[in-house]
Amino acid sequence: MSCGKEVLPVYIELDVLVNVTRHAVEGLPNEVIGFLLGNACTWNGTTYVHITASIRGKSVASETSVSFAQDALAEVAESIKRDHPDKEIVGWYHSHPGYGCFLSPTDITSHRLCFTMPYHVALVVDPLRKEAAFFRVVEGMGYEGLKSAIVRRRM
Amino acid sequence: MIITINELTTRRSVKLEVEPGHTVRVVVEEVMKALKIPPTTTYRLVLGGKEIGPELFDKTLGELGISDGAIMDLVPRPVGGAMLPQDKLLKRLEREEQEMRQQGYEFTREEMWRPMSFPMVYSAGLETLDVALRYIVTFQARGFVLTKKGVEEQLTHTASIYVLRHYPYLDPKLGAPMRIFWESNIFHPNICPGPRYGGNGLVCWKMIREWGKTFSLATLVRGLQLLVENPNPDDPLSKIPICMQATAFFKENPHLMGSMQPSAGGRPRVVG
Amino acid sequence: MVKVIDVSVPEHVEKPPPDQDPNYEVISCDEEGDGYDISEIVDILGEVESTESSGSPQT
Repeated sequence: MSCGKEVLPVYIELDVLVNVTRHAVEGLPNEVIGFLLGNACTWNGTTYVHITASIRGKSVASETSVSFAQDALAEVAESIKRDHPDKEIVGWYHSHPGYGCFLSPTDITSHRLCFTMPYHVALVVDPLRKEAAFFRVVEGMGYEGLKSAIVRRRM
Repeated sequence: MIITINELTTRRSVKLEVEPGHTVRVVVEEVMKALKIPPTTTYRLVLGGKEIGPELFDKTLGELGISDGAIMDLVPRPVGGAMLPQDKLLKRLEREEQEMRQQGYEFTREEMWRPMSFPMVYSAGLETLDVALRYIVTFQARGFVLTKKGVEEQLTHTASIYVLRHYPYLDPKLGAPMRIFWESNIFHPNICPGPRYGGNGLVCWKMIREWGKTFSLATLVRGLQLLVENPNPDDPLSKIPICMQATAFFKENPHLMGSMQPSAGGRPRVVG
Repeated sequence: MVKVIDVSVPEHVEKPPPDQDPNYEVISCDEEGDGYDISEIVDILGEVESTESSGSPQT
């Protein structure tokens, strides 16, 4: 199957999506958060992201928000240096258990402050409604859904 | 001395010449400026497996043991926030309004969608909260009012429920999903009469902070019925004279603090 | 004054995306940007959990 000739903004490897979903399911009923790793590449003048790994954040979920626990980011940095030295953080993921895939105002602000490149992506997973979607922020306080593809390396 | 900072969302790397006396703050500011990232506290520096967060930004490099040749990572700290988009919130409230009608509660509804200032329950001053809608609900419960004749029964009550934008999640500032103000008259240790009766309508009610995601407007109104019938004189609104009067009254008349079930009806009578 | 000596900005790799790369196959494509139905993934994870642990999976 091909997605047509246009370069999509984001490609995610199947086992990464599985790992992100597993994290979301294990965190129920709370939200979870983590980073998406991979590379920003260019082809025919378009920049896209190829997500090849994810890193769980030790998550702290309150009644209104989910964030990285104390020293969780240090673990993330060490993980990346040790296991993924050739990759960059191309985006983040978090879950919305039962309330659907979208970016809340906090999500939008967070994304805007933390992910400053136009190709950085946000992945939202709802393990109860069983949905997942990619987003990026746009002008003002807006955001839009991103076209994407789930891919797998041939054996 | 020379240190290197790697920015992990782009693999850009900044090399800096610094002194041990420089604070972390000025170093991070220079790095953000060089990378054209707006300065915020949403980043953390990581050195040797330890996080340096904003609470340490005023420490000097020397104090933190950062020396020549140090390589640090700059990592962002995103926060996911729970909040329904407006259309989903309205759909949910539609279902909850249905439930209220089924329970026999009368109400009016007004869309606000703006910040509003409210007096705080536990301290002086006002707090500004993001309000979505305001409901004015009328319900039955066996309560009391103070009249010239004394303490009389009062079976009908009216309260304003300000549903906050974060509903059904807790507003992060308030720790609760809504604010409640009494509109009718009442004689109760934890509830102040409404503005038309010379009070400010404040309600002291711990249950609002034990809010669960499965609660609804109808369960809230039921909770208000139970509060009316089961005053808590051990935790009154101590700065409000009529509430302190009510506290003394109920301590002297414990038999008037009802069972946990709201009653069905009956005529008002003078009790004390 | 803190002095910035060097800022290195690595170039993005120039390479065809996975859907134009014979080393990759496309499993699913979201051409509208509406998101995915991940029921299959969640359900398979549920099954794995129930065979590995003694408790029943959460629904």
